[in-house]
Amino acid sequence: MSETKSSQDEEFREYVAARSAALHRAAYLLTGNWATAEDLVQTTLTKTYLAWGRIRTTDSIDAYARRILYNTNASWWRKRSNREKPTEIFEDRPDTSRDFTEHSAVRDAMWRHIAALPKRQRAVLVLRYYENRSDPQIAEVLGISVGTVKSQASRALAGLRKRLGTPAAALGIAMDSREAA
Amino acid sequence: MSGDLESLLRSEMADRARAAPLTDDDPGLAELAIAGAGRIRRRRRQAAAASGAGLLVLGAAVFVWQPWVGSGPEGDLIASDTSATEAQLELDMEFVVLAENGEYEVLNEAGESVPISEEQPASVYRLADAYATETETAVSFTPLDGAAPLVYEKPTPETYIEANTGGTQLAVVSPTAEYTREEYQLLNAPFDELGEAPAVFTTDYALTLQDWSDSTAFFSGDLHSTTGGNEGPYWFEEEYDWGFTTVGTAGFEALVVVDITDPDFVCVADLAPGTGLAAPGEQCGSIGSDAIQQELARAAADGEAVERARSAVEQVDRSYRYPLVEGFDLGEYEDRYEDSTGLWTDPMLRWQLTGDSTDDTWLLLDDSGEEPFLSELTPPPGAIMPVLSYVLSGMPRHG
Repeated sequence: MSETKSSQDEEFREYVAARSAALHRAAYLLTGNWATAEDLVQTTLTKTYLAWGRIRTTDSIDAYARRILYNTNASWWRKRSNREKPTEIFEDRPDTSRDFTEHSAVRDAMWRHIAALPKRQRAVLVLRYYENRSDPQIAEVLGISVGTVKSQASRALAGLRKRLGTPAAALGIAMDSREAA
Repeated sequence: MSGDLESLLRSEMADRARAAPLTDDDPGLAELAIAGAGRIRRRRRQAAAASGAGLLVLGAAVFVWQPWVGSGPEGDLIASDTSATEAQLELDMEFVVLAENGEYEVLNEAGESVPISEEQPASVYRLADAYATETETAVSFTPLDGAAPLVYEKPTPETYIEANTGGTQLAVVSPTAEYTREEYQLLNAPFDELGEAPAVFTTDYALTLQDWSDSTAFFSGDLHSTTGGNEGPYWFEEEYDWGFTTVGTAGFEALVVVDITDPDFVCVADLAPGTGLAAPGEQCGSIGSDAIQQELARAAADGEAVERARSAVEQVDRSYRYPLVEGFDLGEYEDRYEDSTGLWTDPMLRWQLTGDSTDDTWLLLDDSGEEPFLSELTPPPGAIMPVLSYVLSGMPRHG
């Protein structure tokens, strides 16, 4: 193995050690399933390593990896859509910190809705509300215009609102709701 | 309500992510990725060696542009070649090129070089009579003949730009500090002087400007939550303060909001140019209904308003597609198409291009003809991206 390759591999290992947890979390939110999330991250890292020679000296390694993560997830859905249904319900994991109140019922309803969203709409939500990216940053990761990010996020939120009503209303809490315009 | 929902989303996503079972540092991940990449590279080398003879045959036919996608001997999808010259001639495609002197230039459809920037641009747009070069901090307008650019400093780091169909105006869009509204400044062609104060309006962040003509501004937004898809008069401006009044003050005669959940459903507001609203309330219903078409024709006094509204809707839906043509089979090119660092979609939705500046070829999905097709485009030397054109084919081109 040449010294250059060895050095590149070491840089890649450092990158993986530093960023894999964040990629895993995002992948979990995107797929709703831990096993699929692990596959997605592994595929993303393999593709990232293939491009490592040209991206390692840039400051956009993480942007590239994220883009691969989100696009690969979208393409998996396309490839599998003929024989598999998209995830219907997010995998439930034991969560001892949560009591089963109305609040968790609203949140579960929210997740069921998110799980049924088109993959790219879900990607916009994860980038915006989990990764706290600005709309121009989301546009860059997904390779779409800022206006499209806005409209897709708005579409996803509208569906969520339609399904839940207001969160407070779903919880049975009185709220200052605006009358229909 | 939106804030409620958004904060709930944030906290739930954070909770879910925290609950995910993670191994802090799994050294096997990197090793598996390196090994997997090695296998992929070996397969690619074997495939390249096996297809070498076929490439020679394709090379002999390079002077006849018959781009196509079809099945190879093994049934795999294969793509033809497209040269940069062909893309320039057939699609009016222009490229941003890093010249030998270190400056960035546009290589236009006539093969001429137009210097645009010393700094690497984020995007370059073709407008009616200028190239708009966007960087993180500024937008510069370079006349098509390469005369000295006019530089417009962005008011905020979050500012972005949108152009209208035809490229006669550019909107500089800046969110307010609280991200509840967006301010639009409309800059007019010719883009060689910005002496005249731009038209300005401010609308709710829930609305997105899609396109605009001299008379009408087309937005997208969530109408269904309020209307439930029921036709009739509504009072969005009065109840939600969406900012329609400021759009009228900026000089528009009509405003159309297209529902994002059902693009067939629209609301039309009658504006008073220069002053605000011509009448309170908005008429909502199907874009194909007589009531809406009459309202739009009356408010906009513009026979094209309905068609422009339909175009705005189509742009929202299709610009998000990846690939551009829904259901298009990319075959063996799928991974390459998806893994490129560069992805550009023509604002007029005629083509989509993916690639890296270091690649010998980029992948071009051309949807300008009757049937979409994929080809390998050989970019000009030094090309880093295509120019995104808002000038429609067949429209008078300057320069």
